[in-house]
Amino acid sequence: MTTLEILKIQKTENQNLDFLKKIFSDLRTKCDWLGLKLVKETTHHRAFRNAKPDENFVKFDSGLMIEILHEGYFGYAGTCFLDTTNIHEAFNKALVLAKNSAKNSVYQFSPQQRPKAVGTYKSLRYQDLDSMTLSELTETLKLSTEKLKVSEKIVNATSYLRIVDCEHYYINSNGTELVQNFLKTGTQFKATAQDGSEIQSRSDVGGLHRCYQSGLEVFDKKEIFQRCEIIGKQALELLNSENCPTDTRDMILAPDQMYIQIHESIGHPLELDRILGDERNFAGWSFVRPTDFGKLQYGSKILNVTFDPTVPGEHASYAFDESGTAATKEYLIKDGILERGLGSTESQVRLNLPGVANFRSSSWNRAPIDRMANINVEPGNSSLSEMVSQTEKGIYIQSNVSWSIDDYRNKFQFGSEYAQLIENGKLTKTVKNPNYRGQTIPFWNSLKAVGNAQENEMYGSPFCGKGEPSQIIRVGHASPPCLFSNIEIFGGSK
Amino acid sequence: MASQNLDKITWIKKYFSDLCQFSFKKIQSGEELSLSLQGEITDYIRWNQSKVRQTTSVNQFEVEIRFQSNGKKTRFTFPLSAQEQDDQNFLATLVQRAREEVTVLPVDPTYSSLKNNGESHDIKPGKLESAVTVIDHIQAAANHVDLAGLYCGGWTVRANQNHLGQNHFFASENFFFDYSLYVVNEDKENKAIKGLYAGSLWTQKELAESLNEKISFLPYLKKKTVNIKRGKYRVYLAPSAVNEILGVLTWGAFSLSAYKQKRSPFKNLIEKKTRLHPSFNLTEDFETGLCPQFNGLGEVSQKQLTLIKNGSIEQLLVSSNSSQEYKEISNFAEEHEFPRSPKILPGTLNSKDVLSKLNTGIYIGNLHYLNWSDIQNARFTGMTRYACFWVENGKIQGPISDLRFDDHFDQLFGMNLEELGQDSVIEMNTMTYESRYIGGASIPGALIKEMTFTL
Repeated sequence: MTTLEILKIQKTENQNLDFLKKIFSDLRTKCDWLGLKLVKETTHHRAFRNAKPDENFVKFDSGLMIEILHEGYFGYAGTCFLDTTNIHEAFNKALVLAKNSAKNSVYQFSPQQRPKAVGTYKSLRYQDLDSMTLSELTETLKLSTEKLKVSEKIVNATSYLRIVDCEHYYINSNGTELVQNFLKTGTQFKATAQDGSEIQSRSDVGGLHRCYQSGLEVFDKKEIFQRCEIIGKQALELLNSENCPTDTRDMILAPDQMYIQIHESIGHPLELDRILGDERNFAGWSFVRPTDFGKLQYGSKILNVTFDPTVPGEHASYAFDESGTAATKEYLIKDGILERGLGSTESQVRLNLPGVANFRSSSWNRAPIDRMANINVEPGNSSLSEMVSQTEKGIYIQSNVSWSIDDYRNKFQFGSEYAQLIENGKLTKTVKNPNYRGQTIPFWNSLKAVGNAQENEMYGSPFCGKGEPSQIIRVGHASPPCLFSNIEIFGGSK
Repeated sequence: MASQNLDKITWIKKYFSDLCQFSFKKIQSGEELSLSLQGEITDYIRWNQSKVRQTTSVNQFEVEIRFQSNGKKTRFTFPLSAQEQDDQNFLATLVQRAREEVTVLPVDPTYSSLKNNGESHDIKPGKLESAVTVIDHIQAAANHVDLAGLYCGGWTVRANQNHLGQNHFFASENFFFDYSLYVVNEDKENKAIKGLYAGSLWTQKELAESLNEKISFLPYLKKKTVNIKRGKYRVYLAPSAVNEILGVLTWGAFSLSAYKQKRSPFKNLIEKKTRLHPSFNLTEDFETGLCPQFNGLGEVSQKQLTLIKNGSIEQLLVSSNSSQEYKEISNFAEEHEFPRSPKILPGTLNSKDVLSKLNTGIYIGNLHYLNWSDIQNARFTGMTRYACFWVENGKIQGPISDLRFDDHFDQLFGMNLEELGQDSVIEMNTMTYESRYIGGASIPGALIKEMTFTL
């Protein structure tokens, strides 16, 4: 019986660690300080479209990154070639580049930026990959597209499952020895409806955002089919809906829209490497200045935001980052005041500011940089129904579909799939093509209410881009619904 | 100065070929197998404050296996370990796994039999300096300015073989130095300009010329900021800004499958409900040699494909998958049907006349973070970035504060397109997500009568 468990490239965890230690002992004496990272990863992409197979693809990845500290400079060389000759060649390359960069580098680091850490991590899971056959999976994906097709007007119905099984090993000259194993899942279901020239799409939480550290327990057939039917019906509903009005009003964002708002207008601007200018040539700089920490009124007093890679099941949880710093929950914004940035040991020493355990890379072939992990809005005291009832004229927006923000992270514009108007304290008609725009600090200071813990929802994405060379990394964001006042909203073109 | 790592490219070519021949012996009657190779040997040098921030040297080569049988198909990719026995064993395991998978999968509507699309062997060595020398050159050229950027140099490789004897190999050695320069202006605001030095022959002289050309703009950036209210303005989009717009179009605009699946921003153009300006012509043009003419399946496109002619869609990109599903003729596009080497044909606007013809309006050097705000109507949004100036009576007044636009592509390049630039710029693809991208675009600037800014 063919299950989703596939023979991997790698050997056992112990064999992989022994392999790394053997390389380490061969190379250790040839440089001042050495770190080695080994990543082995298997990713399934399984998709159906209109009850027919659309993708059946499994990617295996494996490689070694060599990290050398020479006269205060960390140099890197990565290779997928795991034979002795190629590993030594990569080592020599890293060493030569480190030696020649040290005299021209932005900062002189030390081994202190790699605190000693020994530990393991295994992400939360209840059903492993051998618990489901490929046949069962494909049948569920096929049937889910049929459930999406609630009418002949549903002209395109897609379902997708992504599973990532990742093993991450890191050892270095400080005595660090880390083994972390992640099993991550993501699902996406989408219906596109058409009536004449009108085309509208609705998806499950706005794309590939049901991303978790989990096993196959998230792939619950009954629950998925129920969600697919709702998605299909809402796609049809949008066909006959009015365009989102153009005006300024109060706005409630659902957790699946808060996700992008947190990510783009809190997560990225607080990255210390952006504040230091490392990202100026690509992802961008930040409006936040080092002197803003502890002072800047980032949002209203009910805004509390944390960096927390310790949440079980959230997409970007881990025990240690790639510097060896132990992961802990930290407040980034407390009672509306900016407290702390997203910076690793390297950025912390460059800025003389506190940071977090966020030195992360996308895989073996990239050096770690400051990244988001899980960035969450801490729940408040309001319920969604209370927020609606206190709103005379407003809009409730769900499921992100479009996002754009400037390189300093000030002026944003986000679009969503589905919205409902709020009139005199009640949700009334559904509107299509909802968009809104604003500026980061005034926006977060317009926060009027934060939803409670019962309505907190957790999402994630595999696609956060940053860095030169560029990296796509996994992030998680949890939030309850939130109410903002006086936001510019607008709709589609016609 | 010489080609670096040519011996490794020769070795990888043979290694891949041997692996292909090994795998083709593993398939049984009725089974089809295609192997493609994607790889790079690259030095990445990241810069901030005109100093080195991070160096990463990467060797990575990945093989994709496409296995087909009885109207069904499946794919795997795995990295080469350079340990031949291990790679052969894993490949044999994957072929067996593929055989098991297709027995439980339904028939695929995009299935088409593999063909032998011939042979090609194209190895293009460059003349690059070592990464160590590049560091010295950049350091020397930029020691008096505030520079951030990325140098990326080395080999990219694409290859494909299938069990019918098809055999294509492409390897190219080149570099880019994608950088930006920063100043603080009279209002104490940070202002910047972007530069790109790219090619297959690195010289210290050309590096200095590229930097000096951008440095000559810095006095304009140091002027007081001009704060512009939201509204509609006459603009000139420099080639890099047009290239950003072209980038957002690669997400399905030219794709037959995107159109058929109702997610094409070009729906109204395809259905002839709207059209672009007659001077707008866009081709897929492989003459630049920045990417191979064959796709991931080894199918060979025409050297030139006209996609937009005189403002109207001439043809869409059609992969063999789409060809099978939608019964249209394939033009051997990649599976995701994006242009690999797009060229917007130049127009009549002479570079020296840009400011005078703009007269009063905004000179836009670059755009940032574009996305569709109403995809069915080709409306998109994004931000101004880098060298953007307010111009009055043909004279630069000063850099602007960042502005958000939200407008329709088919209006900007339709009734609002006044003139395209006479001189196109070839911009090598500088994307490096997961691995170094190949290809590039040939782009002119564009003078636009009216563009809508909303924030």
